[in-house]
Amino acid sequence: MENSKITGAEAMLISLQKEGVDTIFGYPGGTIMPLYDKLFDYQQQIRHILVRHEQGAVHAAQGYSRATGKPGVCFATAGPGATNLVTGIADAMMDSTPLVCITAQVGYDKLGSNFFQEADTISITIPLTKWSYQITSASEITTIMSKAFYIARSGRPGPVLISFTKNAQTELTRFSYTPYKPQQIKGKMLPEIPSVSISEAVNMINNSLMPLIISGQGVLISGASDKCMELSQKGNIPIITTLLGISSVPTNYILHGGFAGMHGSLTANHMIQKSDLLIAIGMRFSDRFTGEIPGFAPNAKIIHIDIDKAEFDKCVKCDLKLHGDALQTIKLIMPGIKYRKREEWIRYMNQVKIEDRNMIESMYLKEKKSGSISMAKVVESVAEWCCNDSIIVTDVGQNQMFAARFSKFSNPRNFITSGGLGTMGFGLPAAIGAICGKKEKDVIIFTGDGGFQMSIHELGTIMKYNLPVKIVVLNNSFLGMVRQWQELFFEKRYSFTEMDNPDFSKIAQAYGILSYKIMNFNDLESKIKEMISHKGPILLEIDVTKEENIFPMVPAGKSLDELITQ
Amino acid sequence: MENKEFIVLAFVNNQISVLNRITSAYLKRHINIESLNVSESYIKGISTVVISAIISEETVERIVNQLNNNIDILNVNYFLQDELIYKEMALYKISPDFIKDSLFFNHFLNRLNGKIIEISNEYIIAEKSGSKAELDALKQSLERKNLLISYARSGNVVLQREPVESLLRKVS
Repeated sequence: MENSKITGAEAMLISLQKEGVDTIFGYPGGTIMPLYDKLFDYQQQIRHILVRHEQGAVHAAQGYSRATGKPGVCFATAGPGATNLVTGIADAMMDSTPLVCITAQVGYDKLGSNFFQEADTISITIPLTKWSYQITSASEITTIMSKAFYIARSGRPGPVLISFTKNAQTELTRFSYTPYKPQQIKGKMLPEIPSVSISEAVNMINNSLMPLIISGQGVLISGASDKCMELSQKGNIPIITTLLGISSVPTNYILHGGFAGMHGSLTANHMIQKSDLLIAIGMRFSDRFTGEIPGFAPNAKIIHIDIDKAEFDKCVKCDLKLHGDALQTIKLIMPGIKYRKREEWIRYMNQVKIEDRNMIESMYLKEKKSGSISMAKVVESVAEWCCNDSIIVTDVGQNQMFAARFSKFSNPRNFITSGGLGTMGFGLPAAIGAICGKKEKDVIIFTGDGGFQMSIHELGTIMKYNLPVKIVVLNNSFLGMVRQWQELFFEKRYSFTEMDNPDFSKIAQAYGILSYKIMNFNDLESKIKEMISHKGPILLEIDVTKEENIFPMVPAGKSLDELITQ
Repeated sequence: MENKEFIVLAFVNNQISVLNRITSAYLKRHINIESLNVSESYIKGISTVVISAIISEETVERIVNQLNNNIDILNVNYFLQDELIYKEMALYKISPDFIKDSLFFNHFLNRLNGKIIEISNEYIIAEKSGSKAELDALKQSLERKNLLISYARSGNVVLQREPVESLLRKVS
């Protein structure tokens, strides 16, 4: 029955549908044409967003995934198309973002002949992917794709790369789809946590005078935000987050101390140093979080809950390791937790919070004599006027840290940023991905003049699909974060960090995007209000203080105690 | 931490790119691999990979943890040399004069448990298995006597001192 066979390209698209894919970000090219040709027939079922550069596709897929929790999917052609994805794949690996990247490859019989647009995509991406596979025959497609999605989603999520040879796209195959069932080859996927460890954790928490929950991205991934809050409420335990864990706890929660780390809040950093027990959930003690390890949390015992065994004792030695999913593990601990007053600890937190706020007020929020606008003021104003369920996306650098410090969140998965890899140019495409995944939400992106220009071409994508992204360009005509370091640690030798910029608002206008250039403190609020209420895409270019620093800051190689505040 | 020769023993799916994933864990940390051997294990479709490198225990632990997360790696552990049955095989191409040195030749056959595989007018091929030190010692004696023409060694072949049942439990 020859007519019941379909092409590999079609089998791929049906497989994607079976996995619940509704949006693909991609860019066509020579080798991937058979797949795109079939996609033409599937436009009603699968939405394809044509980006302006493959790196935009992968960052958009990341943004989509971080906003929705579903794996992001992107298409790129062989060779340059595939290599342009590499940065995003590395970023997704660092930040545990589930992606399925499908890149075309030259035909099986042409492999290794330096064929036009041939690049060894599998080898290039081996260190950056959770798994990768080269499909060389159409008959493999269904089994490989279900396995790919399973791997991307399960355990600690991550990127999967599928290299799809041209012959496999055009070959005919019979379609039958069975969801991937992992073989229990490594024993149980997640061994049960011994009850001894659970009761030890409960005892440690109940006996602690100054416990502190650190909520990492693992809490968001496993959907444990509510349980994490419940744990905090039940035991009267203050909670702080990592950079990627921001939005796992509502900003206005009374026991919330902000996020810790190099540019984290004074409150969170001080509390880590003072605490006698850290309950670290779904986080990896990155160097930006801990500062210099020997000085990190000198008084604290550490309970580490993580799904990835490889993270235990990797950076910081822990006293108790609970290997498991954040949600399930918190559920196991919860029943034993007793409410304790911990008056001194709570008083300490409130005291540093006030200190923190006073510092911010005097440093950033007052109108400056020069009339120049602080980035903090911009973010704070946006936070004041925007809906509290908005998604905040950032680029990398000072804009990112100001956005992280001053934005307000009430729901999980509302903060999207590039953490581990710190990829400039991430913001704009990630915002595109976020709005494609969460149409009902407002998506606001804070970006700097540097990072914005790394993916400025994606304004074309916003124009084409009329995506209502609200873009705030914090323009200080500097690569601000590098400049700050040069000021503090390189004797103000501003080596190649000053930028001569075009008029961003005019560029936006050329793309048909409503835009304003704000130079004056007094115009700020009205324009922000207009941005929030505007229905379509809009860009605000804000001339911010040229040489502003984000404080407090923990210098590289220093412990969290040694943060500098001016 | 002191650097020692650590042997990583992995049971992996016999599939394309698995070996690259393993070696990339070493490359990432700028570590030179001293010896590497891949061969079929006693279970069909599953290969044994044996890698030795001179590293600290902390590093080898991180490598093993990273490898453990790998989809196609079923079981992986690290050992010190004396925790394993650990052998290598070497082939020696030796000058025919070897036979004339009857004392040495007899020592080779009777004490060192060497084997002669091929004899021609130009050379003798001899085979010996043993620890790295034993193979090196023979090589050096041959060199001292100016007899060695060429020399090749296999990678490490290892077996764990562990009951088969517990191994099977780990990989099946």
